[in-house]
Amino acid sequence: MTVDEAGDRRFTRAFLRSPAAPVIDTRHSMLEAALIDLAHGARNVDLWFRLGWIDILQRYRRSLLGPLWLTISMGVLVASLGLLYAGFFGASVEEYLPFLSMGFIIWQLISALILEGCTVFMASEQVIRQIRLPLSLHVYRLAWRHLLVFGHNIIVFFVVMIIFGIPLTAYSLMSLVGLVFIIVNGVWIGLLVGLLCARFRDLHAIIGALVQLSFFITPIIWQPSLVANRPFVLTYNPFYYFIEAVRAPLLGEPLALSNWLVLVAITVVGWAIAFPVFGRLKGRLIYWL
Amino acid sequence: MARIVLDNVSVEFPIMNANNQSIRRALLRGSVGGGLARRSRRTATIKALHEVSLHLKDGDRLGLIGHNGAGKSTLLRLMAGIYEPSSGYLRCEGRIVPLFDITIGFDHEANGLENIMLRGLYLGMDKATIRARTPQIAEFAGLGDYLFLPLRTYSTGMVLRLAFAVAVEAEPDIILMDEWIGTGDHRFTDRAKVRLDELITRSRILVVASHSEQIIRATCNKALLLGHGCPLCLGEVDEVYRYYEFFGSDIFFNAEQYVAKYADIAQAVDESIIAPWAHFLRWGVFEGRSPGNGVDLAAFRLDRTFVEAVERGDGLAAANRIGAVAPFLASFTPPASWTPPRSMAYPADFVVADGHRVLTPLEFRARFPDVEVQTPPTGFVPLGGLRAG
Repeated sequence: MTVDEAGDRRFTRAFLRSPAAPVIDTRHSMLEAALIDLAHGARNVDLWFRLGWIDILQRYRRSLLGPLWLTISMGVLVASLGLLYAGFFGASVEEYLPFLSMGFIIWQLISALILEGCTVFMASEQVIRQIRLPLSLHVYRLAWRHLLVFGHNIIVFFVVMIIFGIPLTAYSLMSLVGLVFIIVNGVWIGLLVGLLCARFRDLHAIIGALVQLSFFITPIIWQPSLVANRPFVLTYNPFYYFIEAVRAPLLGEPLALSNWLVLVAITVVGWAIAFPVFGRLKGRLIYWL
Repeated sequence: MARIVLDNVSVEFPIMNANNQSIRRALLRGSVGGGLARRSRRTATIKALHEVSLHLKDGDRLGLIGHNGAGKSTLLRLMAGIYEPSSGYLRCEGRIVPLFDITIGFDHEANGLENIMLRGLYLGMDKATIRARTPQIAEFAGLGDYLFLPLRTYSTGMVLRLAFAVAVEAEPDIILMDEWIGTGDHRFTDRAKVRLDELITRSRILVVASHSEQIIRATCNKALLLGHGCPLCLGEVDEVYRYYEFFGSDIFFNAEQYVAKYADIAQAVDESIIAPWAHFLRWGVFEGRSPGNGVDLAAFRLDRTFVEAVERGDGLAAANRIGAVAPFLASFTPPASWTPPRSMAYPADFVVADGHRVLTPLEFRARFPDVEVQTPPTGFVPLGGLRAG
């Protein structure tokens, strides 16, 4: 290691500790570049916390109920669909409605993370062109924003729980772990598709179509028991594992260990792909916007 | 300590359009080797910066000079870490505060105080610092109770004042400015100037691009002249401006003839979008190419001033020499638009090569009757003498 390299290492370490200023160096390896970006983005937590809130408030500024509209519209949707579809599927309302409402709320989080992940950098183009901020900051802001939306939507489920007398147990807390998995995966997806969609503008439409399709082939409005004779429909659907991880504990249903193992595998593989790709492509983003 | 190092840094902008930004093209490229796909393999690029090398350290105040499209803004955004070089090495240490668009990031639905916090965070300040400084920011912006109203109720001037008041509270190691930031408000301007000067004094490195010679001369201790993405001259502000002005006058250089005469230059100019005069300074003068207007560089091959300049790679000094001598060459054909300066110094120390001829002061007087020729006090006694005229 030369003196200069040693200096570099020291500088990298020093900045990882301090939020002030990351050093710009084109000799950083792509993994180093990705790490610096992610770490520095995390250290700008005050900024993306605020921006995430502003995103939500902005939509409802000057409205009386503000973000509570999120809760209300989700409530109306879930209630009407729940009552109607319970009949279609020949299920009882007290069994079907909690299932549907939780599935719907989680799906909204997942689909928003993916779909808005596609435009995450394009949406912040103005800022990206003027100020150097870690790119991960925009993705953290996106994840935080939708966690907040989720927080508003989950109220609907709590109301449903009270109405149908579903108990909140220690096991229900496992759903928080599931939520963490969704967010952690949402970040790598945002980093990856955000960059790729900026480069290939058609990708957004493709992903949009896929996400829409996934909604119908994932047990959200229909229950998994309906495909008991065709388990592959669930086995090969990654969304199923994420939704189950949050929904099952809250509904008091057992969750196989394999479900968690699949989530761990998806997370590890996803980050293993996204991390170097992000490090490699992040510098090119500005030229694609 | 702050530091900016650029080593042969180039920036190329790919021209993105539906053709190369579509996934269909990318897929086609992989599967079919056909004509269409092959043609789109290389995305067209614009070279915005060409091999810039620069080393800035604490105390450096660099002014970027050049015409529109010379690459000033690109260079600033490169230092700001917004653009990544397509080749070369770039390293910036220190907290960079770019003051390009100081209102970027404002939330127009939020009130003034919330926006102070927001902009402060964007500028890299931490929450506690911003809170502590909010009173003085508010006081300086002088917006009174407007601070409690949403930004959308502000006039443009008020938004700028608020933006400015926050910006000058930043704690930069490196300040980057694309044109001097101002507020336009006369009553505010004097105070604003003082605060901005304080901010700059606090910083370690300043890089400012400006068309205003006055601003560059007042703030900078170094200047870099850019022309079509090429660094043409880096040095003392005075020296660089001399260089800059030199090319405003076009005394000997005829871009049209220069490009017309050499096919390879026409191509280079076309492809890399470099100005002919920049090409001449970087390459032409060293390759002995004629700058047009009847000037043949062969006439200079015995001239010490010129030869030494070429040998040490100083295109400017060589061009300066050409400029000083060219009008006195017998072969010189002034361009139609040329207005000779009121007085010119006779290049008495110029040693002309065989087969070329320098006009005598008398001949020169006959050709350009409006120009007063200054003869050197000693040495060379011109043929025919000045007294005759």
